[in-house]
Amino acid sequence: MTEPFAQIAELDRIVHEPARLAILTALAACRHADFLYLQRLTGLSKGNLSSHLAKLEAHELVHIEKSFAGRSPVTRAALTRRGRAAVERYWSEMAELRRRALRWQPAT
Amino acid sequence: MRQPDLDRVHSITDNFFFWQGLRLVPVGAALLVLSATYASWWPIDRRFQGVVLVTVLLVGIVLSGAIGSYYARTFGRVAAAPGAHARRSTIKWLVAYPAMAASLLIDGAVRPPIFITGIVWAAATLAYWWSTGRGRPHYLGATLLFASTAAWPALGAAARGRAMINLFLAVVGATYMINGVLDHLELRRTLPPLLTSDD
Repeated sequence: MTEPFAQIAELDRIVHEPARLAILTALAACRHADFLYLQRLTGLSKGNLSSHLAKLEAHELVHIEKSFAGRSPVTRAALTRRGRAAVERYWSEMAELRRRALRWQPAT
Repeated sequence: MRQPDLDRVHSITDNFFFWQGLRLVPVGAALLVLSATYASWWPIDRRFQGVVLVTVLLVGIVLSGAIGSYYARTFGRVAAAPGAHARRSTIKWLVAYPAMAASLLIDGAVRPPIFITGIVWAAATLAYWWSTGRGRPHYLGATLLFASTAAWPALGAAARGRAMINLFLAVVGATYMINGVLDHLELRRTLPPLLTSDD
């Protein structure tokens, strides 16, 4: 693989996956959001969203808090400090990748 | 899943409260009632004007709470990042609201040939649109409409001063109601209903 495309393989795959990227992008814009909001935003089913959140939590990128509002269970997700840093690093890598791709000339 | 535009995801989450358009409808209705209480055809004795306005205010507060619960139940909850909009809040309270109030006072007291309130409120509406995620073109329509009212006294639509302010309040009330519904439809398009299965 040639530069700068080799750099794509180095992107954080946990962050790069589209559904997780949408979740992380949303959480980067707020203090916390509940499960229902993230579900409507991403269009994921409950099971898929739970699975993505569990993966993000396992990598300590998000913090999940479960509680009750009356009798209804409430699940809230928030970015951890590490998660915020990962999102910022990802965007900076993507910007750099884009810059390099625009300058790239195929070897003759 | 859909592949949502990430800027839009960020923008809507960041401004989720402001996209909950139905919250604007009671405010718009209250402004329409306020305007109507000054109209010549208003059927209720003007001695009860205060009672009517307080009632409208109370109904608006109750409705606003109910609408907030509806949004939380249907679209979920988002807690804003602390201090994320400190600059916007400062400009709103120290510049926009005082300018909007001052323009009404000037138009009521000085009665200039150009309706200043229309221009100031148009600028405030544009700033609101810009600072709350853009993407909702009806606020650009509202900006143009409010700006156009600057010429209405000169065009004979209403006499300068109180009559023009009254007409403007009705225009703002109706615009709030329409824009509120359009905001809501935009939010529904952006956050469509949930999947029912785990496919």
